[in-house]
Amino acid sequence: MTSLTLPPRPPGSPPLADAWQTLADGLLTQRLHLHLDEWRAAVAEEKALPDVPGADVSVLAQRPSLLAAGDESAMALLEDAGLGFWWQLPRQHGTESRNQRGALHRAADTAAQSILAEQSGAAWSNAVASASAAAAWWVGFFAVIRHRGVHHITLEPHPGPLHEQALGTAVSVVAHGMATRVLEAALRDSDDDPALRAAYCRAIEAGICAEPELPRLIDELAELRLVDLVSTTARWRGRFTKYAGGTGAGQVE
Amino acid sequence: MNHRYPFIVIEGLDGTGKTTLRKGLFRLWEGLYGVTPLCVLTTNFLAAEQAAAIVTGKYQPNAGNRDAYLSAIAADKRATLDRLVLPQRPARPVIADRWLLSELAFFAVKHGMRASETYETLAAHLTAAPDLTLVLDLETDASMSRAQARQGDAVRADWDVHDVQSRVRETYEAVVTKPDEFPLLGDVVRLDARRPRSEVLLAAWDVLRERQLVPPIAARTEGGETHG
Repeated sequence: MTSLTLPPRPPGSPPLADAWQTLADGLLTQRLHLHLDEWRAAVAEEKALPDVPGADVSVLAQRPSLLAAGDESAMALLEDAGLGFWWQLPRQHGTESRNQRGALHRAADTAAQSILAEQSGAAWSNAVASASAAAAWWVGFFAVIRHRGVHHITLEPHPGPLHEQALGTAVSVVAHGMATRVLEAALRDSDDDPALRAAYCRAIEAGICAEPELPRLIDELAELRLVDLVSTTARWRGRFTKYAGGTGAGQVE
Repeated sequence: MNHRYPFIVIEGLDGTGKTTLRKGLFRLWEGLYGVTPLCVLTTNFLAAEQAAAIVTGKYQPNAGNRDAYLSAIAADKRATLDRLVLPQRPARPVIADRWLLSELAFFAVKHGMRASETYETLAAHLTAAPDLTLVLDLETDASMSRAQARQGDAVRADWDVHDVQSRVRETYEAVVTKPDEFPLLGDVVRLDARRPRSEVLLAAWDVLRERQLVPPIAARTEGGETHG
């Protein structure tokens, strides 16, 4: 049997990635509030999106279903994962659900199911389902205001049109990333549950499988806010490029 | 007290999922334990004067360059240990995609050398063993089928063929069944690579947990306990 002593983390040195993730989360919240009126106006008009043919704004705007109704432990877990905002802001600002399921909702459901593998009832399971459902709303939010945004590299306005299928892929990637965070929070509380560890491994695998497609997806999304949402949520090599170079602040928001 | 993180080696035939497991363990350590591992390869070209011998010996192996190649990879591994593995282990785990076992198989298949003979030569240069060698085990047909299905992988006609891969697997088998004769492999654990990738990762994680090679979750920010 190997004998080694695992080092203690030096005091006062939390992982830098944690700080970058916090900044990225804050940027999402900032952008939501910056563009909430613009989004509400577009939703109220119910006009077709100029740059995403076929997308139904009224469906994109629906708040996520209350999947974890009454499950306070699931909500507490989302808070532990730093994802209270991720769930609460769509619940607060999303429109009344008409029980219409669009492509983005289906993508979110599929993403959650691929990780949970029929596990249900546990707090972490409900929290993963909730975080995934919220992913559809966040992607939808930025899709609705996308035509007013800028290209993520050039910062030039008027990014080109986008196929709704790319938004579905974005939802899947974002849902997997957020599910990974939820599961990590649950595991930090206790790693005794084999089903929880298995779900986390499935989330990691989903991230590995998605990584090769991310550059193409980001190229297609093109617009800064959608790109930031996807690129800082997914677990991939470019996750915090935005911050690693000393940039990430002062850009067009 | 000598605090350090584990040195983990992943071995297996082409197509058994070494890269996926390496990425998975990397993400596990970084995401859950908050420590970013260093990933290295079996040769890292750190002994510059040996680089040509490594390339020639690997891709154009013959009796004339055998000893130079063995000497070169021994020097490269020594440099990898001295410059990467040992300095980094106080701060992060090190994960190697192949290490000693692959070299033993190469010299057995290409040069007919006994694994023990190759081992003795390499061991004379190496100062540290991995804590764990994970061997991804998969039937040769299945591993070759997987490897050939991948995009962008170079296929070597003198290596990625059934006969050669079968002999490589036989060498793996012969070595891992005698762990006492090859202590510089560390603890050797075979993982069934027929399973889905997430289950292989879970199995590897369980091995790390059982051997206390990952920090206790509750002590993530405290650590420092002795495990053994």
